[in-house]
Amino acid sequence: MLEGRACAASLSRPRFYLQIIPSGGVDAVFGADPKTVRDVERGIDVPYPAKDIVTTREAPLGPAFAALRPWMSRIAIVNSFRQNSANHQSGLVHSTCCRSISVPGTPTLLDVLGARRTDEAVGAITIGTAFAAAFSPKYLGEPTTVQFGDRPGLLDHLDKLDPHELGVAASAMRREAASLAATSSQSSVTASNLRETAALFERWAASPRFAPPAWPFKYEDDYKAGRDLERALWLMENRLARCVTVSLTGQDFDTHVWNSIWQPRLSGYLASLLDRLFHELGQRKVDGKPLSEQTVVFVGSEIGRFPRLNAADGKDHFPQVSYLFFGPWFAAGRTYGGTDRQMVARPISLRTGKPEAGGHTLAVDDIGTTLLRLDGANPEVYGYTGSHLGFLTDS
Amino acid sequence: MMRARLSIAALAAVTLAGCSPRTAPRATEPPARPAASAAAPTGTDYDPELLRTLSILATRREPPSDELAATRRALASGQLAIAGYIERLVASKEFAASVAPLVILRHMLSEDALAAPSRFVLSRTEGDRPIYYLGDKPCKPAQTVRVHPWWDLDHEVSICSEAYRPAQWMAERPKGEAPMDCLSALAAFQQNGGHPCGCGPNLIRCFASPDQSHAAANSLRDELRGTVGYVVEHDLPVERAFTSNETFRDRTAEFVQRIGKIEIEREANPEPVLRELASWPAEGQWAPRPELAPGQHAGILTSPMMLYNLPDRRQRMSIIYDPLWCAEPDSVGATPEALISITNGNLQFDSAGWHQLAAKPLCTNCHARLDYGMQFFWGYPNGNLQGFFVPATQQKGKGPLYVRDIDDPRGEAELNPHGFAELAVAQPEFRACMARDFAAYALGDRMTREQLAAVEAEARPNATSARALMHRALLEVVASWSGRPPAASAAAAPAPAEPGRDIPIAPAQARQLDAHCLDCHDGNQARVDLSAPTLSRATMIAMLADVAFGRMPKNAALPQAERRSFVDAFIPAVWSGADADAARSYFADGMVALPAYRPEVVLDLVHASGRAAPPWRMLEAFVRSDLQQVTPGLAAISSVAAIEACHAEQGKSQAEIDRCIANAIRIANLASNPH
Repeated sequence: MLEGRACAASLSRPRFYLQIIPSGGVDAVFGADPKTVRDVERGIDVPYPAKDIVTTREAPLGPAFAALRPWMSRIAIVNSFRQNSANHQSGLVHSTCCRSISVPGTPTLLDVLGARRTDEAVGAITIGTAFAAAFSPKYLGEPTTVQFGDRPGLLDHLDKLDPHELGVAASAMRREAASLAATSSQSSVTASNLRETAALFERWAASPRFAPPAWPFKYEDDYKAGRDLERALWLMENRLARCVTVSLTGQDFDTHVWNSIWQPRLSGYLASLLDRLFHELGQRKVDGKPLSEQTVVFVGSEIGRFPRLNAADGKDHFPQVSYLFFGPWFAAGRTYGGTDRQMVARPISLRTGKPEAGGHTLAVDDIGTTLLRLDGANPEVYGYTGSHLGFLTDS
Repeated sequence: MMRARLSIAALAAVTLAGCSPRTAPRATEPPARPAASAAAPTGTDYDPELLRTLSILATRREPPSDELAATRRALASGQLAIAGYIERLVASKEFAASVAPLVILRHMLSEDALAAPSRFVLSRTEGDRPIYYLGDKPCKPAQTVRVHPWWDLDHEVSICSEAYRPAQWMAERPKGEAPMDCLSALAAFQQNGGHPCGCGPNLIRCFASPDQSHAAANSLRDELRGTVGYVVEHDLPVERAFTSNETFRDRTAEFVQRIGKIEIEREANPEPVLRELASWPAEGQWAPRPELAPGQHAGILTSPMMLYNLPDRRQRMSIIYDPLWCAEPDSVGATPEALISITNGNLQFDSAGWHQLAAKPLCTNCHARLDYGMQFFWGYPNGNLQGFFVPATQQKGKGPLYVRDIDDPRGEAELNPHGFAELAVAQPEFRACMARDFAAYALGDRMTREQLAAVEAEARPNATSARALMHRALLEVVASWSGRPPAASAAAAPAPAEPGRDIPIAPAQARQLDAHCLDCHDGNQARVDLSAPTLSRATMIAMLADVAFGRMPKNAALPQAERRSFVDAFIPAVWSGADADAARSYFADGMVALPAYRPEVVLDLVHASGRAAPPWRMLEAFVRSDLQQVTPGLAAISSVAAIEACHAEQGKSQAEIDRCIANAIRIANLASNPH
């Protein structure tokens, strides 16, 4: 059941964290939470026959997640976390902070984990976000082109710069950091941010040019999500960042229209991307160890989809989200949690992760608490009071 | 049309010559903080960094050093008062054209709309006689037609007949789906089963290239910028920017306006209407918009960039309420059980069941505002299906407007955009929002409630002056310059409670709760009770997070110094040792850096040579002014821009470029108050 996985307690803490946000809202019925018509009430949309559900030795998958079948022994799926919001903006804040009550300007979970890095240049880099709500005090990155404009972003600009001049700029930033008197925490944080950015420039200059191979998937030309995941791998391989958040597909998972057409396509694309990503994590090494042994990957949208169809063959918003977890720390090969006949999450046992009457209601706060504990931190001092998901980390 | 530019140097010269400001300062002069050097007997010797900051905030440009020196001398000699200097700054053309629109509209000035302008962009074959086409492949020459395109009516282009379709106005979706017009966000991307659309007569729905499409988007953004700029330049009430029939539009923005009328009237020969555009000033003009129904227009609220920013009516309202009332989306508390119980699951595009949503607990906090508000704009359908005004759908009679929730009605108005706008700008939330915009732009996260109140006091019902708001905000910058946050009182720290135990409230903590929390959290059963003698550990930690990151006090977040005092008072009761240090670093410091100029201003400063910064795709421009700070990202953008700016001038040696980079990267170009 736990093949290929050591006990979590015997593993060192993760070195890298990769959060993947399929932007707009994945419909779980196509992937993480497959159903048959018999499983649900009338009117709950199950847009495929039961025979299309992908059976694996470990757990069933929705038809769009077929590409993940080979990885099921190394993935843990959890259905479903409440994220306490029915709109994208606050849902995104709650999802990036992994805290169900938070506002823009709150440090994200990856900001906190990034501050606990060892020798990576910066703590966290964010790629492809779709909303300004992703802004945090440590924000560094570039958003999606949707609404933000099809113009070069920071990382595109950096790719084009001369390494020598990046070094000159880094020296200037260090000089300015030194000029700031430590008279207030804001001054100290600013100096730290300047030094962090200088370190990024220096290491960027010393790293091989970012030259991503093409990921040969349908829709890759439209979304370039493979390129963004290559960027994440490149950032980690070259120790440029400890944590990376990648938001995928602009906002096209937001299928208020034509849900049954777009969700299978996009979820299928997502599964293909993850298949390739997990493979690449096994191939790329840092300090002699594959990234797959050093990296936590967790995947979940900022919002879920309403279980019933609307008049435009679309699905509106729903405040619960399924997550995938990948990495040697997780009790993989299983699907935890569950949803009822209306596809509303059921309470679970914190011991087994299985549905249990009167049990615990999963919330994104639990992800924050669990990952901080995995990292050796006391979650409380960062405001995390969710439940530790012992069933997920086997601890 | 535009008033002659009066440079800051000229302003200083005029003042030095003894002329008084055009209008008397509205604000009372705050107590000045002299620099360490000796002040002149009758004046005040201001810190030159302060004067530079005031100038940058008001004009988005680096003041020349001689101009700054002259201003400083005039202030020190008493020939110029600081209020007069600020008055001149806010009367400048730069303030009207570049700063006020940025302060009020923020991210709208760099945002792309999903449904405007049209999403149809033509491809073309190579060669002297190109063929324009939609889709992946061009047609054969025999399948083309010759058309006079809107962008060059005196000449013809060849276009595939499939991409032309001058008589087709509807996309015609399969039975059961909502009808879709060809001028809509989705028509260009419709899925199998729909009837493909073409560019229409004179190719009005299409752009000849991506560049032309981008230029049109810029024109629509310029309509927002120009309209606010015109209002401020003429010192009109800022309310006018949201209520007037007129906007400031260039020729392309006017073209986009006219397309809507052509579409609704199914005008087969729009060429005469399009030819009239030749007389429209290319640089734009303040001009009325014809109305197809009474009250169709309301300032920038009915500009395409606002109406079609997002694909449906309800989301449109979230865009409109942002600059109008500084209201942001928030659906905290939404549960799957509550949503699934809404019987009509057709919420987004049909907006069915909206009465139910608008009155439902929790939902009402946004949906009373959104859903009653969208009734006023019903004549503008969902942009994903219909990207133009349809007079027949505009509602009749009067309708109510709500602010906080269904229990907060604010009167009624005619159910059209103009009726909405007049009622909306009359609300105190409008004046509070304008005040917050200017105060946050100038003061960043150091803005105190008292400063915000002082700026808001300058706002007048239906007579709010952007200059007056900025004037007061800059005076507050002067008054607080170099001010240090008060240190937290060194009250005896209580011993931390054991994990799992409730935490008793010490007197110092009770004072903090009394000052900031108990107005709402005092025995109210609907909320957490913070008046009890003990609080649970989880409650206290949640409270620390809420206060530290500005979620609470609701709608009145504490300024940084007060937040720090608050959390410092509680941390020792919860943790000790390394945990307390980590908690203090997280809750009290919050990873927050020095407040920064908005990124648009940072790029202007780095590109001080006069060359415009190249366009960037950045999140920072979409962030509220009071959250702007020297993040790693802003530091990186500024440094990259510095490198690029130093390459903009040809013929420099590498050593000169290196020096240029080193000089351009300065904390003073990032932090609005580096002290």
